[in-house]
Amino acid sequence: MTVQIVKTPAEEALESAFAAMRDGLSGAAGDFAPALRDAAMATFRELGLPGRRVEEWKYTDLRGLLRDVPEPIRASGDTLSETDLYDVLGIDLDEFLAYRIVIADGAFAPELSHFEGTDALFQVLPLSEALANPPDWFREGFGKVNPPERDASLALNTAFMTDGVVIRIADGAKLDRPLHLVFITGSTRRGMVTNRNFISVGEGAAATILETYGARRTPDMLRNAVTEITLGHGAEVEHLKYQNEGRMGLHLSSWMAAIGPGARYRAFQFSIGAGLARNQIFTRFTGEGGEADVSGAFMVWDEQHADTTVVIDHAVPHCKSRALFKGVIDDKARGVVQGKIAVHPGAQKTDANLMAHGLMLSERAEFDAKPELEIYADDVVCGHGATTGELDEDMLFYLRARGLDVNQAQALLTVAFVGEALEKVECAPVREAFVARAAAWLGSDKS
Amino acid sequence: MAAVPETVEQVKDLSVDQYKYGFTTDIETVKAPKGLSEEVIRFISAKKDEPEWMLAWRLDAYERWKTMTEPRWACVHYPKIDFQDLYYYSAPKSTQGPKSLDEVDPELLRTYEKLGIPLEEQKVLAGVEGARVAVDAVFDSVSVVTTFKEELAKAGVIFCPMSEAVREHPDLVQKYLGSVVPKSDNFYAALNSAVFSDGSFVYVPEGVRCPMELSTYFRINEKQTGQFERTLIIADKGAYVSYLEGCTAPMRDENQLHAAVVELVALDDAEIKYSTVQNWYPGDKEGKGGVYNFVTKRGDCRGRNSKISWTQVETGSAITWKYPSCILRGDNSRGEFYSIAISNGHQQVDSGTKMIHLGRGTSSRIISKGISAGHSSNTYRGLVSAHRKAVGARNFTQCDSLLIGDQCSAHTVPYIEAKNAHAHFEHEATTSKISEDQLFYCMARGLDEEAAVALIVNGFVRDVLQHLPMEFMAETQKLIGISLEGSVG
Amino acid sequence: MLEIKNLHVRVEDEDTEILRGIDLAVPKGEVHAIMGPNGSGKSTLSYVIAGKDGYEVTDGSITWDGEDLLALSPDERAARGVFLAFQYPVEIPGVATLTFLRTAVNAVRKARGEKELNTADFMRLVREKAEALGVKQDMLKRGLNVGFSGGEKKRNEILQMALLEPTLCVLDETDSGLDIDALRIVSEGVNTLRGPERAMLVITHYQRLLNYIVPDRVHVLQEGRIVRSGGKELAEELERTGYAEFGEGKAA
Repeated sequence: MTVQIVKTPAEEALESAFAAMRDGLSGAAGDFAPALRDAAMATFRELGLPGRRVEEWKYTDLRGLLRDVPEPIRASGDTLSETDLYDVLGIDLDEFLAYRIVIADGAFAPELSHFEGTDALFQVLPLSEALANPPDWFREGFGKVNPPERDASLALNTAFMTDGVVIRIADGAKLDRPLHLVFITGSTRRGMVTNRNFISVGEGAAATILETYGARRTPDMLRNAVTEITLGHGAEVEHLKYQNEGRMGLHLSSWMAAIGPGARYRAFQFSIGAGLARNQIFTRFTGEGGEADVSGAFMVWDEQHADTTVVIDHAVPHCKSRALFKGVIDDKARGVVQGKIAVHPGAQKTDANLMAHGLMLSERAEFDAKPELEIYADDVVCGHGATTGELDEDMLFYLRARGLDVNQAQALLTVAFVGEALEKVECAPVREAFVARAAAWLGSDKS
Repeated sequence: MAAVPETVEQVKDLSVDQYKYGFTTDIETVKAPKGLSEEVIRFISAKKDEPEWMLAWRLDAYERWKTMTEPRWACVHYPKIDFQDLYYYSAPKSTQGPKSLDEVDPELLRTYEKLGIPLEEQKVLAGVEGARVAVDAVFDSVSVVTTFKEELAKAGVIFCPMSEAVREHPDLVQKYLGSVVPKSDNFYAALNSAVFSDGSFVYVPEGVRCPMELSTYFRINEKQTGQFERTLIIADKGAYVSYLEGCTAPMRDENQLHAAVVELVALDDAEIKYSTVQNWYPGDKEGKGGVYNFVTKRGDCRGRNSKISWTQVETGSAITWKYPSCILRGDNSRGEFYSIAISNGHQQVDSGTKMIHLGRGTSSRIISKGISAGHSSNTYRGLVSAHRKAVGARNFTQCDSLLIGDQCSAHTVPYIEAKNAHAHFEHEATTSKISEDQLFYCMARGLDEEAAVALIVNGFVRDVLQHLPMEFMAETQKLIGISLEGSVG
Repeated sequence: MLEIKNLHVRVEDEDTEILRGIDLAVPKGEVHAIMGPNGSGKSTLSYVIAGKDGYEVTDGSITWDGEDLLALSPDERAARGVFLAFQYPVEIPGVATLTFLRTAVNAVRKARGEKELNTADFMRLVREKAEALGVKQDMLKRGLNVGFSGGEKKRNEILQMALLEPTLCVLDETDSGLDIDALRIVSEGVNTLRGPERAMLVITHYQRLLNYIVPDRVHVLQEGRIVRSGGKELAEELERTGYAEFGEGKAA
């Protein structure tokens, strides 16, 4: 039985913002985007902001937490420099050789992007252009890559998306450098930013894709970022994300991945920023023989809230998936890991495993885990595990008996704890940057 | 003694289908008018000769129930229940309340004998049946007989039908009834609070170790009749009691509703061990008929160092919705949940537990073994939570699922909530099928496929089996074999 | 000098006393052995000296070089030169042994006002000490004690002892789980550390270890008390007669 619930001010603000902006959003003049946006807004109107009554959002009460909605950010003209990128990302861009595509304040920033001479390997389009003049392949696939049913945050993204990156990697293309997608806000004004990416990886292609999110000045941006990615037959992709948004902000993120036959997908998200971060990863095998590793780590303190929600759909037989999530929670912060492995009827020979571990560094920290198995085939090997606790006292004593003070001992054990997850990252410079970031976080540089 | 018939072979002749307890008893009954209303509740209360406070309590529950909706979150599917199309009270005409054994209708005695439940104390005393167990036999809405009452009374233990306790021990009932499962706890608990018929009441006084196992045997006989028993067990300081519960019902085409409430209270240093073998009629091969088993069972470890242990073997019912839980309120209290849930045919099981850690140094352990076969669906749903003050709380959970055949499903839905850094929770779950190698090995040694499967499944559940009282263990092993008949080949 | 006076200890939240009035003095330059059956309180004594949580000292004192050890945290004790070689060294996955060793050596050096070692100097030092103890390089790259055999763990303990240069060494059942070759290597490692500035307390159940690490004094611990003390010949006597001869306790 559904009960009609009174709309919150934030819900009303979103609806009226949409009405006001609708005809000015990217692709408004074409025949493609407006219909998608209208349908998405209708879905949102029906669902409202998800709160505790929605099972998937049980631990993250967006409805209660989102009080108001700021105006969408538009390209501010307040130009960002390379130095800004470095400050926000904490990765030395000179050292990190990558094809870089920057979305600044919600719009494609060609002056900061570098991917010249790569036409044979991949094709890049700003989302705003793709929505205005959709190529056939974009029109056919966009919005249809393993979308979750009835997800309000995805609906909001589709309704409000301004810009993002559309990439098509050619069949057989082996990218010599990672693709680095940078999402940065430089505006001093609080605002809403809605990005949408669409990545199509051709048959037998191989790529490393890193998404980084950060805000330069404003601590309380409201970000909604979605990436759709399809892997063709035998494609190999390492898909990474680093999120270090302002600590009062809201970061809603959804990755939707469809993994083709024999393809290998490795996803990893490292999240330390935002006041409230909800990272959703929806992965689906669409052909036999696929392999996926969907993992991540988060480190939160103060009153931060980090939620990782993962669904791995074994829709076809003979696929293998692994997932490992580690959360470090300090002060009054709260960490959430929800992970569902769904084995569909007939998906025999599925091999799936998911682990979630919470490490609490303070008295008032909170960790919630909901690992789930939903199994409709018998010839499978599936498992999950979850643990929560503080640092092991015997380990601490051992280290202290060897002269490490309490902070050193805790830091060493904590880095070892998240390190087990960070080791999953295959791209060495990114892995090293993550490990360094984790150590710095413990050394109190938590922003 | 066994709540499950000892000789499987003998009972086999009684039934046409897989279910072995599907016979009906032809006996005259007194029923309340069909449907649920204030009048029906007044009727039930009057039949039981209840004091005014009990009636008021029921009517309050009824008012609350009317505002509530059925829970929809469980992974079970069934047509909407018409709560006005049920009888809420039915009692054998000859037995208006429990009497001494020689006054009990011989037809009823024959029923329990067929089920393998000895109600004649002399027979039990003769040692034929092994261990001595006191039995409270509940037939539809009333308790027909309670054995060994006098001997228990010598030890100070009260063991009697709930309806008798309401009259004879009002102080205890008023103090504890609804204190663990409040009237408005959930839809079915509220319904039960309004119309509960009978069940067992146990009080073990301070420092007493109950001299024998206590047991209740539930039987639904009448058509279109709901059974709403209510059980309340209190172990006072330092007391110990082990309680066994068994249930069966005849085979009927329509679904029967069973919505029980069980409340356990353990005070300082007390221990309650509660074991269930639930074998209600599961419905036929096509999924027609069977019992809807919507049960609220909860134990409150109210005192320091108290312990409550739930062990359940769930093989029956068309639908099972049941989460025997522990509220670990007392410091250093301990909760345990050991479960075997077997589903076959079109059965749907959504069962598990809640371990709510409130006190310091509380610990809990959950071992759940789910076996799905046929077209059945088997879900483990559990919650382990530690509140701010539950410093040093510990939980270990192991839940394993075994699938037999590709038309069934198995789900695992644990909720782990730690609001306290000094809580250590560990959860593990696996899903697998019986390995071809194991099966082949057993068959190469001469076992047929069903025997091999039963053997392997018995191995799969052994961690739980060992927590059952001896009387139940051997029976359960046989029951597993029977429940899985027709699941292979 | 290590001085233990009238030491009474119980496990927190439990009533039973485990140590019931220990008096013991180990001067620098000497090696003392504590022998006793299982459950006599040997490991408790070593933990209390090193400062493990969970034990409550209800009476008495422990001083090292005149300083009250009980007032110090475990790492402060380590900085003062206290070293416990654990009976069961804990496994710490994710922390590479080498990383751990360097962190520990530099933490202790810093606390003692010494200069921290740079990578090259540290590596040279480790290589030299590790070689002497037969600790292989690949062991140093693995997670701390993770997947180490019993012997490897004990050698790793002695390696740490050699690197941290403690002045008070407490060896808790260092011989347990060692075969004869490993026992010889470990004992040699310990013996090379014997010196006039160092006091050692060797805790063991069997006399065997004392053939390799010859003590100056032997104390018999039983039911939380030292029931007898003597020279190294006391260990041999114990080996012949068993613990039953002492006090009212039973043989282990």
